[in-house]
Amino acid sequence: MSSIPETAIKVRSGSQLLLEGLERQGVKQVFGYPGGAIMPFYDELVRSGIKHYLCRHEQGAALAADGFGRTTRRAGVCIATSGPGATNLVTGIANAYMDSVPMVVITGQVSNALQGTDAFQEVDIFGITLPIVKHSYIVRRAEDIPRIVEEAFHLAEHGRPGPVLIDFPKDVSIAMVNEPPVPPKLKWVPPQADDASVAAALEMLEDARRPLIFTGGGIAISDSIDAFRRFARSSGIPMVTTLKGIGVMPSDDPAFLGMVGMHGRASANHAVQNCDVLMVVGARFDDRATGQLNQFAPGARVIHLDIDPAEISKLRRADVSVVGELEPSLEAMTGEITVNRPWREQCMQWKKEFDWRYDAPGDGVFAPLLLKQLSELGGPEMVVTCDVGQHQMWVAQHCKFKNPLKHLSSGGLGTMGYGLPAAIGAKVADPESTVVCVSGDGSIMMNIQELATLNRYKLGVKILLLDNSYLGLVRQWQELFFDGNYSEVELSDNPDFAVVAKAFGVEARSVDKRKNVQASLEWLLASDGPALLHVLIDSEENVWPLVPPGKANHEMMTAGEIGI
Amino acid sequence: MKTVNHQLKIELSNNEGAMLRALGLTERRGYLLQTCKLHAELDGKRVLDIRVESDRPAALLKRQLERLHDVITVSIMSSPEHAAPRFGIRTPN
Repeated sequence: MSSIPETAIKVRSGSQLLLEGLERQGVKQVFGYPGGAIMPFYDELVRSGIKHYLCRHEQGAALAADGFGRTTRRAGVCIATSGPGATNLVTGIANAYMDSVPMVVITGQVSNALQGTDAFQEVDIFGITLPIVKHSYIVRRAEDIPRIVEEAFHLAEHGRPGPVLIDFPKDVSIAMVNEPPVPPKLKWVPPQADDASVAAALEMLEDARRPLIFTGGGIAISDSIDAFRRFARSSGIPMVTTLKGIGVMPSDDPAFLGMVGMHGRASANHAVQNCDVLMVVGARFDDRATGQLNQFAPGARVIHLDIDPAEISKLRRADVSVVGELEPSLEAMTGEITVNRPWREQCMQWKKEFDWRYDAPGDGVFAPLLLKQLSELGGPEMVVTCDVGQHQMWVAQHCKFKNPLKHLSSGGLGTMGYGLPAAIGAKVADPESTVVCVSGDGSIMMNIQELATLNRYKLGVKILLLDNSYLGLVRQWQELFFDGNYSEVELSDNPDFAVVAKAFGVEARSVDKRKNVQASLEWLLASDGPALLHVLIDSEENVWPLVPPGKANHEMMTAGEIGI
Repeated sequence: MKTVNHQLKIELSNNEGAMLRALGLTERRGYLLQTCKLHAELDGKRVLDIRVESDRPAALLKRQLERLHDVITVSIMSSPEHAAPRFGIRTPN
């Protein structure tokens, strides 16, 4: 299996054992950055069959592994050296933890004898990452490596996925040991919800007059999209989604009312506030989705389906909990329910009433329309990665998705700088796919160095950079809730992004007129190799609607209400 | 919600970092440690007895702890009886 030549006496170094473990897991690509303590591993890595993508900052490597893992549902692998290399991974690990992304993180560490002595580039990355990993290991003996790798991938990819850290001391990486036996492949037995809870859920839905489905990221993570659609369509129950659930149902499905929450669609927020039974599927009541928690779905009894028992009644008490793999639970409920017709019609009326409008005055670029055009041009197979801010919300509102795994957005952690590395991970995972990174002028600067990675590997990622010369979402909040006191949000001294991109070997153009958007987007998508379209948008454009802090979701502010 | 005391018994595997992981989670999830005692069983398992103060229910901490790979079992040894609130924890303002 391994490309590493076998020796007659079957002696292996720790580094060889780690690489062989990765190969046994089917790892073909990894993202990383070499350095002191991890050098013996890199020495072997170039002799293995694994392709290493050198990112230009360890955070880029971790977020690229996140993009890879999110797209493939297999663990993305990132590697860094000890000390600053390891700490630079932390944001990426936290990002994967918050969004339940499978990831295996390998960090170099100083030798066992030096640990605890404040050695050069020594940091307790095991301790630092305890709250943001699903599990972690410090490898003390090279003989343990095959078992640890098998366990790490098993834990990262099964149940509720997440990041697993393997801290790899230098003395272990160079230790020569007799080859340990290959560990047995760990088997995953998906937890099944008990029949009684499914029956109780069905009974509650049958009694409901105004039932509503609230979907989250768990449906796509557990590969339950088809089962979910069969259930939803057979029942006819209207549905809303979190940011991470966008795409579980095609946006044009009549019963799909849109995203809930702070920048959700009014139809979705009204439906939640008026439902009498809320069936939550793979979502976790994040505060950006719920608004003021004790006013969220105030008249509803809650049915909560999730694989993670710790999510049940964490923030909102579940009247019925269905804990287990989503697919069999949904299958058991399919065909048993039909929805009350007037309620469904009311929901569809809200959807019609609160449809998006794209007829903004002026001839400048109108970001929502731009993203609608991008979505129409790229089609449902396009992968869109986002950074964090106004553009992220506009993508969620105005791009249409048919699969959440094609919408890569940092939901839980809200990591500015996620978009470009995530796009690298997604493109490496599927080189044939069209991958567009939608970013902002604030976010792009967080990992701008990864333009060099695009150029180095000629990865045909397309960057759509929305530039309002502000930290737009912060500016919007300062405008609305801090009396217009703009504090440290103005970015008019941004570099010329098209020039920057070209300096990195990435083709670039700029556009500032609405009439030129279509042709510019066509150029971007048709360009050969990596490309960047720099779009100048109105500095004071806001994201609407907006649920103000401390308010219930139905108390949305809209542009019209405040006279903008 | 009123702050109350809960006592839990946590059986841990004898893995490096298992106790830190369990105690870190406990405080991070909003349960202030009052006392804790660790002892080893003959079979190598570790047993952690903790008393915590919180306005959050003990059952929620139990489920959070049970997610940890190092945790074998969690038992609630004592906790004031009260119905689970409609909103599981303090609601943010």
